[in-house]
Amino acid sequence: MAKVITVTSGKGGVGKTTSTANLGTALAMLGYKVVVMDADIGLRNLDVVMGLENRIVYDLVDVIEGNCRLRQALIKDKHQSELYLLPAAQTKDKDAVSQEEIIELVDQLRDEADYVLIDSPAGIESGFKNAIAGADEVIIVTTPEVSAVRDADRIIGLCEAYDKGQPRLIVNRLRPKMVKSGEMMSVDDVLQILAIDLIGIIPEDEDVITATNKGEVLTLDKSSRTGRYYTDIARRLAGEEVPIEPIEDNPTLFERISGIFRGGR
Amino acid sequence: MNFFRRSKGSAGVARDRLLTVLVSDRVKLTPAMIDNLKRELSEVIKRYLPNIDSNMIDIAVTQTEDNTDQLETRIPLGRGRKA
Ligand SMILES: Nc1ncnc2c1ncn2[C@@H]1O[C@H](COP(=O)(O)OP(=O)(O)O)[C@@H](O)[C@H]1O
Ligand SMILES: [Mg+2]
Repeated sequence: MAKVITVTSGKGGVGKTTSTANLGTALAMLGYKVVVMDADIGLRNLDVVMGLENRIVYDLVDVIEGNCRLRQALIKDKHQSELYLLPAAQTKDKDAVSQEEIIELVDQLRDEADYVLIDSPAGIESGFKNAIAGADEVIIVTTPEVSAVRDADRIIGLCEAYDKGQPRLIVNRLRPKMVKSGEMMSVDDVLQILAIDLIGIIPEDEDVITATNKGEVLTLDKSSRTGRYYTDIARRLAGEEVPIEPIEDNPTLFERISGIFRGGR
Repeated sequence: MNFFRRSKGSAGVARDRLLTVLVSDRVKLTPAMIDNLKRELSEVIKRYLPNIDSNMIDIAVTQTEDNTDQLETRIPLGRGRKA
């Protein structure tokens, strides 16, 4: 029986789809069977982020409407044999499905995997409600910015109202240098304001953009530091105790040399 | 833990603005109502402590240890013991 985890945020463009793709990949690399589901009906995205857009025949609405069986709509990932995508419909309206239909679909998916990750649309309307309807657990993604944190606060309240328990937080696109110079809110600032548990920190990383350009998920690159941070979050999702370390910028050569003289590492 | 730390830098400004906007979001008071609340609070306090400046009063919604919301206020009394 799969655990169903919805990735949501309130505000758009903060990294929900990127997080879903990377965490799905990371869980599959850890040996779990994973289905990632795109619940952003009408604004399909997860397929292109994972580079699977050319393989889509059926989508989630086709399954609900009975045009195909669930397994026919599941697209196998290019790299991970135990990772599948259930794409959203691109041409249909977001009200094409009801909450009950989504819950039924998610329950069907529970028999197919160890983890089901649902990529939620932005907003607090029906699309968001559908995306969390079947969830056992909610992950909120925010960036350290006023509007994103404000919307995250709203979503936390809604999760409580829908009995989804306390969500856990990913702080995305952190720039340690800016935090240091007092020009970006720190992870602690955000946590103090939102008062929920942190599940991980992802730095701002250009490699996220280049990987996405190519339809490759960054976590596949085992040398990527950001990829390792996603893998750590995946481990925490799977119940492992992995301490969350503060993110530093990679030290400059000068800092490394002066570190040697100070007797540092 | 001090919620009312007024730090320089835009991060501190961001944090203070968020705390203010979340008061209205969480307890469903408009910013105007919060201003009124502050003004009336300061009027009451002024009867006892005449040196209060209502602009210096801070109100924030914070969480207690058991995760319930609480309204936290800070009312600086200024320097010295004039009051
Ligand atoms: N950690 C990061 N570093 C750099 N760019 C990022 C990072 N996370 C997300 N992005 C970029 O931000 C944009 C929005 O991300 P996306 O995952 O589509 O957000 P959402 O699904 O919440 O709308 C994308 O262009 C993505 O490549
Ligand atoms: Mg998205």
